[in-house]
Amino acid sequence: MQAASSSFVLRMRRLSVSFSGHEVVRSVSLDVPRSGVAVLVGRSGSGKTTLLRAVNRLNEEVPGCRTEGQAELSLGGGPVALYPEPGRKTLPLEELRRRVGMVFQTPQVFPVSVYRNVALPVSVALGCPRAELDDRVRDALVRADLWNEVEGRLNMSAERLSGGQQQRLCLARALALEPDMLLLDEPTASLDVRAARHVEELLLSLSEKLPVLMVSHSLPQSLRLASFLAVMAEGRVLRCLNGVDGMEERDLERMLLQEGE
Amino acid sequence: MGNGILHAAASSRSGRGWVFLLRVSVLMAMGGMALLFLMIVAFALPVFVQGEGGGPFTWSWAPGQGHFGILPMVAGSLAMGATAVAPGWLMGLCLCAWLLSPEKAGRPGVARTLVGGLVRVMTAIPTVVYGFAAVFLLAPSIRMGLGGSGFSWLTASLMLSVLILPTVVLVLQAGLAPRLEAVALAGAAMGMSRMELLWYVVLPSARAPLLSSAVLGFGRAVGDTMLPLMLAGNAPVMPDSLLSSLRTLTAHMALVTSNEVGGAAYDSLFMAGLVLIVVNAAVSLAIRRMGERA
Repeated sequence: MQAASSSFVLRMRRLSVSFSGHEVVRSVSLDVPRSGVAVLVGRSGSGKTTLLRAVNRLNEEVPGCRTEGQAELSLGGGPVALYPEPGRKTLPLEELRRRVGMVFQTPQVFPVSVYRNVALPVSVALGCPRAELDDRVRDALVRADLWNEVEGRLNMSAERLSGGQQQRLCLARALALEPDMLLLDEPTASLDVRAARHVEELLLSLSEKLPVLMVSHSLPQSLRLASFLAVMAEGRVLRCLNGVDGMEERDLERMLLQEGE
Repeated sequence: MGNGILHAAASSRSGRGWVFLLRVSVLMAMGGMALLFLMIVAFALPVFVQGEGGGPFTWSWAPGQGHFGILPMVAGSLAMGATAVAPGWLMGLCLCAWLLSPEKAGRPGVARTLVGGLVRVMTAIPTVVYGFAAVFLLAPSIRMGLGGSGFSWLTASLMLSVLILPTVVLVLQAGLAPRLEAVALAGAAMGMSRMELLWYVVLPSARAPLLSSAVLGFGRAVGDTMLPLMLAGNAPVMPDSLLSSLRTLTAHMALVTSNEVGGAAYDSLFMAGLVLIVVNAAVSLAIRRMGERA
């Protein structure tokens, strides 16, 4: 991207998120590099998902949520404050969520056709003209490596696709909005081994052009994908690693065990 | 599956007592329904067969001359049901969409909480209260604004559409809210508002609640007696405009029973009752079929 843009896509300073007074993310400071796949790893309940959802401010959809601290996004066009700060520019919520795509743990397809799953957000949230829709849908499905499988049945209900296909459809739907960053919440947790590997390869190739921040609870997966790794426990980021080359699952496990104490 | 549960329950001694009680209550309910139908048909059949003065399926109701035709009332009920459901259902849909799409997710706000509560209260208001209010407020304004006597097809159907509004809203809400919740988070993550999600994702895939709310609304509108009786003018003829008088089957039955306790006019009411049941059952079945095919 631009030379002016920072080498970090996301910087957090003392970010805390609480729900109805219960603190889930505690004073996290974290710099996420622009290139490669950044992985948040930790046990369940360690606050990974909440930290991820702080990036597209999705926590605010839950009543009783309170976010404190500072966070800064550099999506191109200079850094902007994620949460309102005095004297700084923030993105409108809709624009933020269009530019920061998200894929959930379980495939969240809409109960409409395969085509409309991808076309709807593009035409509704992005206001894309009807004439360009077909091309954009096709592009997105190709990028998510799903086009060959659904080419002839775009009008079929998306709910009839397999789990792996549904998850790639969700990825296509996020990519169709041409985001500047991708958030993934354990995207392979509900898939079988082969489908999961397929999605992993896809993420690696996508990360060459797009910053990817992903939550994982699988240590082997973290080792396969991560070029940046943040270890979380009890709402805190306890350690950040730039690269996991040469590390083994055992090392990571020991690290998690130590952090838990 | 029901049998399986019964057998499992019957295996214990105390279970047998329960099963007996269940069977008795089912038999009583079914038996009551069967007797009701039997009685209506038994009384209606002679009227149909003897056909004195042209029988019930003619267009003239003139008991003095021996004409007991109920067709004007059948048509009146259908027309009234249709003109009440169309605006009532549309209003209900809009109201429901508004209730389901607060600006701040999960926080309905004062206005939505109040309106939602009001809709629930509306279900408990007896229809005679609506009728009473309309006699003094709506009927005079229609008389002065549009002409006629004020007691017309239009007056009654406006009030009926208000009457069915809470039914429509509550049925729609129960059907649409879970569907909306299922896509709300994913939709929000793409920058789509709840209203956009409702319109583009939920409604196109929610044929069943849309249809069933319309059917239930129609059933309530056709089945209501008090509002047509008080507001529609009750002339037993086909209406020629929205401002002319009309008599529904229900109002007809109430009027005739309050004057007669036997004789041919009274007997023809059983036919009217049968038609009423058949109409509602037919609409409900037809639309359920449509819903299944979708």
